[in-house]
Amino acid sequence: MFDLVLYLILILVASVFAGIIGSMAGLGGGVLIVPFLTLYFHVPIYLAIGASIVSVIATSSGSASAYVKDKISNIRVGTFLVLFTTTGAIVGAFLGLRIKNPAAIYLIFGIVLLISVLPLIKKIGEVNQPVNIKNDPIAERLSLQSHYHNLELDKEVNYNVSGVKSGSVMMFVAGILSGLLGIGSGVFKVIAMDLFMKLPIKVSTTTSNFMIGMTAAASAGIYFFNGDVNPYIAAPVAIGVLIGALVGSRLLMKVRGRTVRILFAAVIVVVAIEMLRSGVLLVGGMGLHL
Amino acid sequence: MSTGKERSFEKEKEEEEKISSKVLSFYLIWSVIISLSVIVIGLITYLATDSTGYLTVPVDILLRSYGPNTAVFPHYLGTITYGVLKFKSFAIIQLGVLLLILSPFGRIFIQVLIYARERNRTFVVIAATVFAVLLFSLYLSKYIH
Repeated sequence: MFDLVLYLILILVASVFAGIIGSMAGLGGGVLIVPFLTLYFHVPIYLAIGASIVSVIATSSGSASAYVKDKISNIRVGTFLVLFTTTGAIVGAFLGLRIKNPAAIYLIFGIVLLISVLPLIKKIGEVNQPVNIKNDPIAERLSLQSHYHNLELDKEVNYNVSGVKSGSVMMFVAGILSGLLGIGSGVFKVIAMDLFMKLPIKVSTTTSNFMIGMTAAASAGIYFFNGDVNPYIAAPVAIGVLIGALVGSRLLMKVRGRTVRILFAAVIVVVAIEMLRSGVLLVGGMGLHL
Repeated sequence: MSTGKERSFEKEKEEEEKISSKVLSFYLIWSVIISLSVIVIGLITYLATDSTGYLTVPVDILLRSYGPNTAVFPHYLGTITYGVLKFKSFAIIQLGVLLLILSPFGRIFIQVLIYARERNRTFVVIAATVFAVLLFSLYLSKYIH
């Protein structure tokens, strides 16, 4: 019993840290759970993915609640795009459970982590308020344009939506990555809305948050009913990541400036390299649990 | 130029959207609170009874137990319900996890109702399709392993 309680507490503490680091770096709280569980607890990667995707639902619903109330997230845009992320997530979970050699998942995870920190170095969304954007035909048909209260400009700002087609394709890819790796893949959703659809950055990030829970649910059910969500791991992870993400977002409001965020991004780069190294070792047939 | 009638229509729409956001926001936060509470109750039961309610294994095996045939924890609706009725700790945790996983299903269903109330036919169809995709994922889960 002592070992069982000890490990429970260790997983909880690790999840709190993962949540803090993930959200301080501006990524989701769940992005480091799979690396932590596989690298430091030697949990099989499918179990780590199962626990992670459950925690992603908890953190995203928790924070989406606030943004929806403040009417920053564009629920119509989110609901339309969720069509593509959920289908992608099903494909991703299917791929994940079919890949029998986990080496590929380690490698893809490492690469995705590295891509995720890129926006921190070359910041996307430098333009606070995109101008002269015209609604594209689909956006016009679905009347996706909306307005929100821009805090920095301190006024209501109207915006249009373009590039719905390319944005949707990118969302499908984001969904695949979410289902395959058990992450929220918020970075990819934000890239789709910010770069392709030219939404204001604040609207992109909050709408992405609104979408993450539904995207995660599409693959979480598949993992759950296949017995890949182990309650001994999933319970402390869900609670820990939620606490960590809450603490992290509070801290993030206090620390201004990019230095801190880049410091946390560096931690993620180290973890990414560890995942890549493990993947390469697995390809070499050396096994991970030496 | 908008007539007075159109303006009052716009205002009405704004009001409706405000209520919808409130309903969604309320649902989002309470779905997390409730499902996590159930998980915590399960954990407390586990620590208090010193039993998972299922096959007892050493921690290193427990950390690697998974798959459709595992006897270490339940992962089907029937077995979870049975376990919860018997007050088995791992079944209670799984119930909380399942509530969490299913909460977005309820969220999109509420959106279908909201759009129906707003008479936004296009978005009733879109939200209903998302709901169908989510249900389809559960159906597919049987065929994946």
